Amino acid sequence: MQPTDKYTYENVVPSKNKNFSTNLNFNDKNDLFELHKKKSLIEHTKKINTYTLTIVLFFFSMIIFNLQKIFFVGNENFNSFSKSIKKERGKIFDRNGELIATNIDTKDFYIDTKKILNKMELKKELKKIFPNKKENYFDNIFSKKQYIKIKPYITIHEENQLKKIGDPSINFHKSSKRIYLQHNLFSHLTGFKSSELKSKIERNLDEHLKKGTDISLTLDLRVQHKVHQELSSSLKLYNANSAVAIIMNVNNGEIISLVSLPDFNPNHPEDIKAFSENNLAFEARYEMGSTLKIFNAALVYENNSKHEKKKFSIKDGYQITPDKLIIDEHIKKDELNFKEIFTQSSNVGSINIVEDLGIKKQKELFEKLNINNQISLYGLNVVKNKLPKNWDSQASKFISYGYGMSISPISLVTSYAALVNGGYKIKPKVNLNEIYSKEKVLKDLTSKKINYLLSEVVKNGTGQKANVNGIKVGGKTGTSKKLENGKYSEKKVITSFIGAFPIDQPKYIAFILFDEPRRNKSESLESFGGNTAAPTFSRILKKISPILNRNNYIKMNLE
Amino acid sequence: MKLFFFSNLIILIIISVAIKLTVINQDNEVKILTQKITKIKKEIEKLEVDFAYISSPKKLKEINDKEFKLNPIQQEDWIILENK
Repeated sequence: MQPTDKYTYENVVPSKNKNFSTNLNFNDKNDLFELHKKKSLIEHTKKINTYTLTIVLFFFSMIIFNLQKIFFVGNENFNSFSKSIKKERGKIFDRNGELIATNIDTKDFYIDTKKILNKMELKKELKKIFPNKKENYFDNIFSKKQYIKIKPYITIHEENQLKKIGDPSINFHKSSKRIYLQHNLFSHLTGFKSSELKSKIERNLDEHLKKGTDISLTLDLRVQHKVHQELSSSLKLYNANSAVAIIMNVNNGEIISLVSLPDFNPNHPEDIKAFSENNLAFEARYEMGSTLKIFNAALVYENNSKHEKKKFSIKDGYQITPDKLIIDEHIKKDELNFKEIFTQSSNVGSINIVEDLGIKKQKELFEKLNINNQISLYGLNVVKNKLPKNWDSQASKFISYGYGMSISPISLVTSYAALVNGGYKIKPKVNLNEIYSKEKVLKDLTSKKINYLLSEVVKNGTGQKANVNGIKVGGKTGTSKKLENGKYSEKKVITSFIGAFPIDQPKYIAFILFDEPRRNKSESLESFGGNTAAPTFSRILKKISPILNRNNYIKMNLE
Repeated sequence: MKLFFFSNLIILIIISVAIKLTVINQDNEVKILTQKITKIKKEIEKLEVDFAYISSPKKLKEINDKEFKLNPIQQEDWIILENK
């Protein structure tokens, strides 16, 4: 290195970049110290810059994070706003989307007694608007300092009248009222919902309805109306205590119509009488009488028994217990063939069949047809059938002609559906969206033979009054004596008819029941299934078959 | 460099505030629209209720008995039509 009077920075601090050089003039040795000082200052500044940059970057990243929240995550305020819109209680529709139950916005009337200007004047005006309130009602309310509900669900007219009074104590609160547009028609299915009480579907499916889920029933408003109309007039005609009608699709278990009389108006739950709230189709049990006899025929057909060709002597009756002799008083013949046992509804013949085939086979058949088990229905309560405690030989004989076993109408209809639909056990349903299932339990031939027997009962037997021009009908009548204080009454009866149509390939089954029908005095006839329930069935079928034909439910459901 | 850095930052803040304000504005519009839709839905529901009540079979029967006196199709009528 050549001696020079100039010191270059390069000569002091080696640089990686040879091209980059800075000339520094050092006057004395202190300059080097100064340089070191400056260097440390630069290092310090660099550190501060790094920290500042980190803070700024953090700030930037926060902005970017918030921006992506705005763009991609959505607005929390809006979500909370959406949640704040209260979901309305779900509606109930029929199978065609006709409205059965819905909600309407209404107002409740409150009074703040502390703000009343003129108690006498207000009391006078309120009495005019609400004349049904008791005499001392307003005196009692005005005597206390309180904010009290005077009347829920006031009408627009009442609201206008109250506004006209102009007292500052009068307040209105928004509320929602459940209304049933078809009044009594579906009362035994929907039940009712008031501010305090709920029943049936409104109670059992409350959680679904509260979430705003709508429910579509399998029932048809128009069919229901016709059935209700006919059954109501028949109830009056026969002067019966109560009546039941069920119409079911035999292939998928859909209940098209269900009427239980007496019924109630769910819009006025306060007026419901105790007995009228019971859905007799699901919540009542009856000894069905002769309608159960058809199970004996199924028993014979399923077991390939030779009874079909046998002759049965009924002349001497059957001594079922030491003090009870069963006689077929209504049959003039001494001997009946297999078919006649059902067309003439012979008790003695029925006992003979079951006696030959045995209890075990009878029990097995009832098990297959689901009579021994409880039926479950979506959103509705169904009573369990009452079977004999000791299903012995005697009980088996009683059951053969429809006594000793109390079953619900829906259970009878479901088991009959399996007899006529080709032998498939089905589950009844009232919810249109429920999936249906089938299980083969009987032979095809059994079902065909049963359908033939049922058609013979209507053509030549006890069910002739069930006939309808233009439709092939098959069915079975039933009459059973009512049990009173442990004894069977001679006057009080339950009459019924269960029929399938069109009987050559059944699509529907209909069941009609009257509790204690009392014929008019002018008619000397006693009440039987054949002269009460069967003609009612015929009248109902005449009216509903055009509706059912047009809708062609079977085709619609299979698609 | 610093000037560039800070000017970018300010622009970014202004943009994000503007976006935020736009979003809030849009939100309010959506809220107003939702309220309007709810109101219209309520009106429709009222009309549906009225219609369901007026067109219930019982009411239709009353109207028919009073005004038109039409008879419903019976099963026999179906057969006559089919034969023809």
